[in-house]
Amino acid sequence: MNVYIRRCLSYEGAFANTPMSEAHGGSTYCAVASLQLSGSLNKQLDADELSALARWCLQRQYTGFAGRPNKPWDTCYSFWIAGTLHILGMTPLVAHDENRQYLLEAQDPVIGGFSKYPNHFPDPLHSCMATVGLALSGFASLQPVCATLNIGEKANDKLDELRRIWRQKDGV
Amino acid sequence: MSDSESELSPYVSYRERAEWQDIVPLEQEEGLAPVVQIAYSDRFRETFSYFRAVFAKDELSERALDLTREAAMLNPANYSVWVYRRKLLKALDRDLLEEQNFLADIIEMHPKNYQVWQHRKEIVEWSQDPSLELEFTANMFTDDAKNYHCWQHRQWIITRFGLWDGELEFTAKLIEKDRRNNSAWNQRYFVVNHEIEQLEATAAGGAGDADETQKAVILHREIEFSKKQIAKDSHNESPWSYIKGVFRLMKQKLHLSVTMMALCDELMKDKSPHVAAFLIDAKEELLGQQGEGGSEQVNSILEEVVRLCEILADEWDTIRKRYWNYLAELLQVKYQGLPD
Repeated sequence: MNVYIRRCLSYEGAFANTPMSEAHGGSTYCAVASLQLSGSLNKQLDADELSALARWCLQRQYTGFAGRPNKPWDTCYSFWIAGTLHILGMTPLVAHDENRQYLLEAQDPVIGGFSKYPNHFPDPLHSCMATVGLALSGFASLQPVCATLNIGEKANDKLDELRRIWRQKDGV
Repeated sequence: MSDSESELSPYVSYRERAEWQDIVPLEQEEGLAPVVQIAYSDRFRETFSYFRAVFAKDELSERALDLTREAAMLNPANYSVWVYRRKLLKALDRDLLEEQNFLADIIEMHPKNYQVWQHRKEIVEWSQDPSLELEFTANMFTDDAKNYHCWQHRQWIITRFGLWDGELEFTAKLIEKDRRNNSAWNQRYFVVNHEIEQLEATAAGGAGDADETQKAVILHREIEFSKKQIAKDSHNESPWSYIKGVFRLMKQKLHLSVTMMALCDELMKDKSPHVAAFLIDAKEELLGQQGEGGSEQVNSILEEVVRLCEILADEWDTIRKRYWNYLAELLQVKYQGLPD
């Protein structure tokens, strides 16, 4: 898995879907989360590469985030990109006010939910991603996020607890 | 209703078709207390119930093939339909050119669907005939020049069938049309990377020198190409990340490029964050070489870098001010041994 992920590292410093394809927010998140979950992140990427990756992600922000250079901002990237930054420990460097403002503008004022951009049609995916995106930027009373699994930190703690119990049971 | 539902011929219920009387439709299992149920049209529901029935029987017939076409048009994202369709195409020994024409239509209707592109890839792999693909993908780019699936397919075709000729010019054409098309710049890197791989493959023994000269020629060509696009708008991110990537590919140092350093100095007046970032990276290379811990020269370069970070944070790239301030601090700690 690690070998394939590395092969997908683009000259831009972020990850593509397949080797030599374009670096993209979605694949970058998947790559980084996978590496983190398997404990391989700091083994597979050296300091310079992590640095370049962080910069690429941060450069996706205008107000909200886009998934590739010169592409429009889309609320779901407030998860894919900001989530990646969270895994990299770079959340403090995000411009949270601007991100929150963009996300809130993408709500449908009549039926609710979030769309990819303001004045567009809301859908479940963007509603979910925008909500998590708001949580990552510390909005209101939204719970802290475990970015690697896209669940709440509380839920992840519960998973850890379950694993601990299972290990005990197995005598590991 | 998906776009292509309206493209299908007028609907006669399967129940009412004589040739389908022998089939008992299989309803979708929704569970005991389904929530958030999709409001399928009658046509959709029935088509897929008949699909599930023939799929379960593994029936390999013309009527099953036609059924997969209807099902695919209704929901091209149902990958079981496509897997089954491929099986049917093989069993019935169907004309693959006809299939490619069908695919051209459905891809145009659903250009961001994964399954239709995968199906096209499988058909081309099976027929071993890529002759339509470059034109097909080029046509798709006229609607959306950044379609990720389309670029990925084009790269696969070129790699798989060795169709590298003319691709560099193709990228130039697209970049000329829209210099902000990052996908086109990525494709150019894809081609140049291949050029370098070829050089390194053919270099052997004494040909090592020729290899380096040819690399230098390519680097110069790409610098000139990027420079031309940068001159039109230095605020465009794409050529900057591209040329840095090419330098890295050639294992060359940014700060040693007289052309690039002169270009940056000249473009500072544009107040482009990419110019400043390039200079920061170039100077960081220098710092890396000088070694850490406060010689006069290190301090002088470091001062320039910090100054650039400040300009970015305070004026040219304020959305990322926290980052540029952080970077300045990081570099100062690294190269001056300042307290964390």
